[in-house]
Amino acid sequence: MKKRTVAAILSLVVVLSAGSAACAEEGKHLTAGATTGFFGAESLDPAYNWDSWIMSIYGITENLFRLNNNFEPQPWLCESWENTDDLTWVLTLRDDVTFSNGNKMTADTVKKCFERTAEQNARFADTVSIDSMEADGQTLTIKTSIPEPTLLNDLCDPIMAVYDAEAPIDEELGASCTGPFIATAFEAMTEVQLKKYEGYWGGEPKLDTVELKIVDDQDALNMALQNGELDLVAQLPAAGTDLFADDDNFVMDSVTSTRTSFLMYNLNTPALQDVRVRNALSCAIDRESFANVVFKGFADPSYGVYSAALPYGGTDGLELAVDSFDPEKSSELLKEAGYEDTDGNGIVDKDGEDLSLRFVTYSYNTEFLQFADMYQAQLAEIGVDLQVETYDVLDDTMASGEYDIAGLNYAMAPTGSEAYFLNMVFLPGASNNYNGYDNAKVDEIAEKLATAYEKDERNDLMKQMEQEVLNDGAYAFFANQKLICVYNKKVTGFEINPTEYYLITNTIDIDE
Amino acid sequence: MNIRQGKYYIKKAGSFLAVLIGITFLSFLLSYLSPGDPVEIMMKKKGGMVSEEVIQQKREELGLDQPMMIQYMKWLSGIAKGNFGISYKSNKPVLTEIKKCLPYTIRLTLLSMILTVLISTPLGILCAKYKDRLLDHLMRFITCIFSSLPSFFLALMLMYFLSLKLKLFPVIAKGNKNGIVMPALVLSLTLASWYIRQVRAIVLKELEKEYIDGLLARGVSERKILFHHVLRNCLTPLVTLLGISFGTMLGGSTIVESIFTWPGVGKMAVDAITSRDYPVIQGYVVWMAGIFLLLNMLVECSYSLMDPRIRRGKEKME
Amino acid sequence: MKGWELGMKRKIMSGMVILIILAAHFCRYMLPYDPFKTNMAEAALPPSSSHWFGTDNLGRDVFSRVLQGSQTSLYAALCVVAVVFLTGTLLGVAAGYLGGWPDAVIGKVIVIFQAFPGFILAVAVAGMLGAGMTNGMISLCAVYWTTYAKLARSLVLQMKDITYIQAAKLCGANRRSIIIRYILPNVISPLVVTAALDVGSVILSMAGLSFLGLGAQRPTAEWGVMMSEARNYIQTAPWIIFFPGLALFLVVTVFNLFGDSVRDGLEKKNG
Repeated sequence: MKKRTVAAILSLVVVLSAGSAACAEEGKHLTAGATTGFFGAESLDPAYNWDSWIMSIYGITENLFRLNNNFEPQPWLCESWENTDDLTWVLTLRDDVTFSNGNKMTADTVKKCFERTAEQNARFADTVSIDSMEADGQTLTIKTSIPEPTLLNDLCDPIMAVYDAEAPIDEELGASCTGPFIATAFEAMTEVQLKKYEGYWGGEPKLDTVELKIVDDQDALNMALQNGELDLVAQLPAAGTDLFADDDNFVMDSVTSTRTSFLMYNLNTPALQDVRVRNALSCAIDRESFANVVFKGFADPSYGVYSAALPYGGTDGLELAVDSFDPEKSSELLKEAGYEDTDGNGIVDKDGEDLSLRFVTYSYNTEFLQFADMYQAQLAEIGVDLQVETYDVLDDTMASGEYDIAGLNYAMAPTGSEAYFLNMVFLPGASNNYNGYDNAKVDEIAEKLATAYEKDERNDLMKQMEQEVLNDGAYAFFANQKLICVYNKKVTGFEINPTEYYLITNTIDIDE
Repeated sequence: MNIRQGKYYIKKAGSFLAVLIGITFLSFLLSYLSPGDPVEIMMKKKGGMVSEEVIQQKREELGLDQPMMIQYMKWLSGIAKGNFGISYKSNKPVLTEIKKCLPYTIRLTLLSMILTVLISTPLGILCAKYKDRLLDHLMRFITCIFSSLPSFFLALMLMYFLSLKLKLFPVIAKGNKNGIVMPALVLSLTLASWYIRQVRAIVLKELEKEYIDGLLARGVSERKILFHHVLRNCLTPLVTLLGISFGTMLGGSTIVESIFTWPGVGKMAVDAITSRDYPVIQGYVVWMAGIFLLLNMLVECSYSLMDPRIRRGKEKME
Repeated sequence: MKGWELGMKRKIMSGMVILIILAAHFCRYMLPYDPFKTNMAEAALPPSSSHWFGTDNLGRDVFSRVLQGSQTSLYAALCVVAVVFLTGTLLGVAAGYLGGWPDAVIGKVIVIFQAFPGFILAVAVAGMLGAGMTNGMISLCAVYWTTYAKLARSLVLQMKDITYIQAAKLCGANRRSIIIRYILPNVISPLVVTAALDVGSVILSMAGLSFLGLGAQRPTAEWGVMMSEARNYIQTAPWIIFFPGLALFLVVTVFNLFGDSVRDGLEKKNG
């Protein structure tokens, strides 16, 4: 009896500990990992929320145009295009593309797909204002209701992903798309299994299967890569770079993205209405240390507005009110603005009020949390008290206006389009204009930009706009971050792209 | 089953139901008192600005403008029908989410439980046998260490040494062979350290009883006495301990599942808290308390079945 | 164990506990550096003679932060234990002595609270109320108070029928004086033992909550938060996570052993 009990218990242990998906697939297999922010789709329906973005990373969806490393749109599912007048675009689509269910991609399928997405997701209409579409064979004619000089950039936005909207959309495996990989199993925020699409128009994918793991613990991701459980980790935080930098078994690729860390000063806070106070606060940011220590050099210190990766970015031709980390200048500016420590409590004051500010930022952004600790200590030296609060859903707090300084991290030009950040943040009434910034000249430039089709003219307008923003000092843009991907040296054919839109492609291969 | 027994079980079921209702009330009260406005969170998740009127309308639609007790009754009647609400984050029914994650947690806790028993029962008995000898002192030292070690620290250390240095187990538990071993080990090591001491105490008490002398006098080997007679008599207190420690396991699973990326309900709850997904947290709390309660009832019933003395004693007391 | 050995052990443990509390209380006079001051030029330095425990990812002195953290963790734990000890005992004594409906109500509430697995209740309360040190402490109070209430209630029930209490009642002593003069002194020691045994576990739970991001928030120097922050440096700068972990472990061990020795002493006294 005893032996039988022992045997029963042991077999139960074995059953319980057996892996659920012990994948011993034939052929070439790649396992990649990243955190929810980069890899976590809620469904595989491209029209739902932000899921098309993640599906583009997965290598499932594709767009009519694709951004190259300089943020310039290149034809992808589209073969050629013509801008016949300010409102009309004639696109000729590739003739050799099929969806993963075997159906052919035609102008009509793309039209129906756009119509479905527009109906289900408000971001579609925010991205482009389409008046009407006409489909004829492989020719798609798009008429916009207002001039859209950056339509080609907008067509790169994953919200404009192409999928077969006429076929039923599977509850688990989502829509049939044109990309090199097809989902075979999907568990939201946990795990995705992909297999290659043999009929992929761009050439048969070199990998047979791909497994994507969504893990929010960065430390676990790093160890899993070192361990060989993962072959590739995307969007590695800078803290982990030391582990792989000098290791011959791994390759680390990085590229400057448009992702920028910046402070937004709330202009409704009385103390922050004085530009001298704002500049004093901006001068107290140790941009170099932040980029070199917290980001381990995987970020560039910024004194301008946009990342130098963009044609209109960097500080060339701009006059800078703040051009270095200078606590003494900060103190002087504060003194000029009438702030001095009169009651000897270590905090400067004016009219009997201490300069104490509420700083809000994301609770999950480790680099920003480190920045908050650093900035708090630095401001304490010039006599400014900073109360740090962190939120998971920062937008609620920002919209309520209950903050003085916000630490934010935005991709400022994900499609390379100039107007994106401008329309989202700088204009009065914009969706993310949380600080009440309002400059008539900026509004005027935005209007001109909306109808400017010439590249040089657009860049020139952007520079003028940046100068205005810098003069006002309502923001402090302080670091342009790099996108980092690390992979086992067995992995070949991987190409990093600064847009954060693409990752898994048909060219990725793995040596067994 | 006679009438007295029947009455006893009906009474048990009644008090079970009463406590269950108490649990739901407490869970409801918690989310009622929580600071965020669910409607605003829900609407803003979808992006864009929402007007105050739309929010008010939605609030009325969800019945959030009604008095607390009415809201509670509505929520409770929903639960009775298996409707735990809709997750703010995934827009799926909470029950679906829980059903998806629960098997993972059950597997993890069961395995940890078995590991705990396998580790601690023999060690506890040996400690009792060699009381105040080297082994006993050594085990006391070791158990002292493990009971003071935070489980997250233990988890990170195991991950570092067993996964990274020795490459014995995978770091990411889900979808890997043997992935469950490390989370189960962390849960059971902490618990086993407490359990060894309990087993030791129970066995020592048992060894003082007279029948042991009788068995020894009859020439039964010491080993047989320990692992056969004593162990059998210790079963009832051991089962009780298991019932209690099940709650500790469930609680510990929040931290361990998060660290090892094991998609159970513990990780689900921590993720839900981060995104302020109140219906999911609520559903999780009700489910966990319900399971824990049911288990304790079963434990109680099981040993009152095993040992009629307990049942009679109870009835007398009541 | 012999009597003098037990007494010796208790004295040693009490001494260490007092030492820890004193260190936590007066730590601000012993800090070699400002625990919050970042120094990017000295980030992630290994332990040395100038930084005994090394520096963290932002160049803060780990030793100073660990020391400062002892105050945060210990104060929070002692505060939680004090609150649950007082409220739990009060409710338990009231329920046991008054009987009737107060007993029924308090009894049911205890049962309901105990129906939740402890840490899950803490996580739920902290999660619902929102992260923060105070909410973390409230959530732990919600978990721990029941032990005291239940114990106090059963002790009082046992006491109630003892002859000298009955005698005091017959002599006309009022309710308050019976509770304060006769009942409390007799029920207090098992409760104190429970409190002594709980301190370590409360410290651990608090650190666990903070580690999950539900307790103390950065840049507070609290051990759970420090360890959670240091996770990404476990390979490159292990000292940042090791020393808070060690401190947490040692302090919890001392409090657990202290609790054990107090309990053993009481058991000895009661034969």
